[in-house]
Amino acid sequence: MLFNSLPFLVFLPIVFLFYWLLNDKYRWILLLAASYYFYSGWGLWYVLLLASTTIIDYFIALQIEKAGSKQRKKLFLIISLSCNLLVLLGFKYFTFLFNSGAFLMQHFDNNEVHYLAQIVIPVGLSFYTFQSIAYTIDVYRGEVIPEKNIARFALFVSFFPQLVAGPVERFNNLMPQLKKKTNFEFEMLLPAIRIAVWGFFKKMVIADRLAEIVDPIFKNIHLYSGSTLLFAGFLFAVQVYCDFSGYTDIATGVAKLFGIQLSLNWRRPLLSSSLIEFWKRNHISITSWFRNYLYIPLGGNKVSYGRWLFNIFLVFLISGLWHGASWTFVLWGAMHGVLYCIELVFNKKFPNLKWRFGLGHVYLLLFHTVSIIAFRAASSVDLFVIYHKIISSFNIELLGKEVFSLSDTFSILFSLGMILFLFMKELQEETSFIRIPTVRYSNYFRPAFYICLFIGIFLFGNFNSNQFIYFRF
Amino acid sequence: MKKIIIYIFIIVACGYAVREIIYGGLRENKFGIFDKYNTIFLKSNNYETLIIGSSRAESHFNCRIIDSVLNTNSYNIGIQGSSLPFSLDVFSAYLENSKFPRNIIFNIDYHINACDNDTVFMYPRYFPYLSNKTLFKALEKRDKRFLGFRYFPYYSLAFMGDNYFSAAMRGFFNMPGQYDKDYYKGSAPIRDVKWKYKLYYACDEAVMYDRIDSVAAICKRHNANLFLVLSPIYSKASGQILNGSSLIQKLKEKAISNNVVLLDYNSDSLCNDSTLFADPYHMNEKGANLFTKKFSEDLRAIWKK
Repeated sequence: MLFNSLPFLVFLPIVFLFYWLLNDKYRWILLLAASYYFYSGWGLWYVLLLASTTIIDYFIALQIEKAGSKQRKKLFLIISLSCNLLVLLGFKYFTFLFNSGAFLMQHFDNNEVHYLAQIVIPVGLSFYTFQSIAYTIDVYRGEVIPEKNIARFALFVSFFPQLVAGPVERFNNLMPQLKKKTNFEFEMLLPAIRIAVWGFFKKMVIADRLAEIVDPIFKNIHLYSGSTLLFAGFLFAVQVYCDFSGYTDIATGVAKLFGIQLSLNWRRPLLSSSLIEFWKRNHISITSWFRNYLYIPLGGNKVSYGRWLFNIFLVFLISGLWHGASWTFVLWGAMHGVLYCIELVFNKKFPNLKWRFGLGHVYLLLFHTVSIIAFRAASSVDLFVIYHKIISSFNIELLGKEVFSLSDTFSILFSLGMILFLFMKELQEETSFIRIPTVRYSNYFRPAFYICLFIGIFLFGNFNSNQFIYFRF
Repeated sequence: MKKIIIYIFIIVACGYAVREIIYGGLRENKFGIFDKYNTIFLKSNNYETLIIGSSRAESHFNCRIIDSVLNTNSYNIGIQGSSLPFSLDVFSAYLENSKFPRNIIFNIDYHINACDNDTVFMYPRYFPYLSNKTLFKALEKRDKRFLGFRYFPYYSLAFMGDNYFSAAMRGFFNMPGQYDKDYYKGSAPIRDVKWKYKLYYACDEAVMYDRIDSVAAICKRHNANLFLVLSPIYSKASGQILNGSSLIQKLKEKAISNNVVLLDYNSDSLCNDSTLFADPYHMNEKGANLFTKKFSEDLRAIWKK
């Protein structure tokens, strides 16, 4: 079930109403049933997969707690990790590994080989698997007391607002909230609706409209000049940000309706002035997952300088692979890993050097644009064609002509205007450059602003849109 | 609680207001497709000759030529993507505010392969005209969502998109859109180019012929002349219709039984020239002008008789 669909528009008010009408003791059962119903919209087999991950990690976590020796604990942890990673490997990476092997074989043997078609990846697989893995590791580390009630644990894994595209929640943040007795207050409604409306606006008015410009360009890369491809890369960067942060905002708003506060996942990453800063603001829940469960076990910064840099590079490489089972994603991770390490070295050598006149922002945006093309390119070959065109046929004069040939002028100008609007809104949140009297703001300006956004969704939103981009991951 | 009720009230009120602004802008259009729809569904007209049918009627019959050759006052209510029954419903909706025309030119699409394609093409175009009861009934019969589109502003706005918003703004500022100036009294040349051929059987159901009977009866009641027309289809495409000749024969018999004229241009030399077609079923501007001239002269000869 998609957030931006009619069934969800019916589903949410029903769940919301019954949740607050029910006795406090039974609300979590309703949320569990609603979460499984929500997920079953994508297929019953997916539900079985989700349930099996839940069951395995529930029992293993209990075994880890009971285990007397550290070795036994480790053994159970390895079993849990193997089960989870095997599912990920089977659905997400098997085809990629098989086809990569076949490609190599073809070059060595010169024999014709058969490539496998990509298996359909269950929606949100990476997200809930990572959340479940984090739980077992936390139990192993003694940071979490395992949940004794399997159904409550199932709710932690499947809580529907964040099930399919995060934020990847930590047990210690989500579970106490799911257990806490809360009373309904009208005051909690407005902030929840506001954040969800902004999320819908970002998804349906900004991201989906940009997709209408970006998709035809990346589908026909041979028809466009390097300048247009680079510009499409920039638009895609904004699209991905609005698509994913829009989802997170909707999820946060929906969770708030049930009195639950999800973790912060995005903090205006496109306003960063360096890659290091970017990764402190971008997809925070998954970045902290990689830090806690991969980077730190690899030794963190308590290893030699060279090894430290290598660890960082490795984490980025794996993060790239997490985003998608393709060499283009690996390359994306590698680009980020290399530049992140360069920035670290640079900061160590010149600790007092700072970017001036917004150059850092331009540098970050340019790098992000160039690297995210790897996210969007259909294949490695396409990616190199695009990069080659950007270098060899960069013609700024063709940009306007090619972009405006894609749709009518109003539509293109409106989409570009929306990027400016997004930038201004985020800049206001970041710097409060417009000073508005607090009382007047909360009484008049803010309600008017969100009502306009609400109407804007219906006036300019794309209601025939595709899924959220991050569902694929 | 009070705050939330106020917000809900404001949001609902804004929905109606925004919708009315957009509809108002569309109804203000003096050019293009919305000017045509305004004429058909809202205005009170007194055209002497009316052209009915689908996009083929809209593109094949140039009212400028018809008016000059036949010395009449014509209007083309051919509707893009319309089925034969829907074309007739549009005619009924036209009659809600307008006088019955003296001459009706009914272009028949005998080549349609699916009998059940009685759906509404580009349905948001009709939203500003749902106050026309006949039109609303016809649309609701085909698509139950029209009840929602009529009464829930956000539901209809969600299906409209910014094309309608910009068309509404153009209406307020009296600015024609890119293709709006193509329209003249409801007729407009076709621009799409899709050449596809396949062998098939065209729809051959009694209900299609019954509709012709009912139109003929209505025309007789109003003392109006009905002319059935089979406008050109590119010869290679008409050759793909396996039951084409038997269908034409049945239509001819139907015309005789109703005592109306049927003009068949499917074996005309125009059909052999691919340069006169935008796609196998639609003539381009050049082809449409040649055809309209020929048809108008034929009609003039009939009128003289």
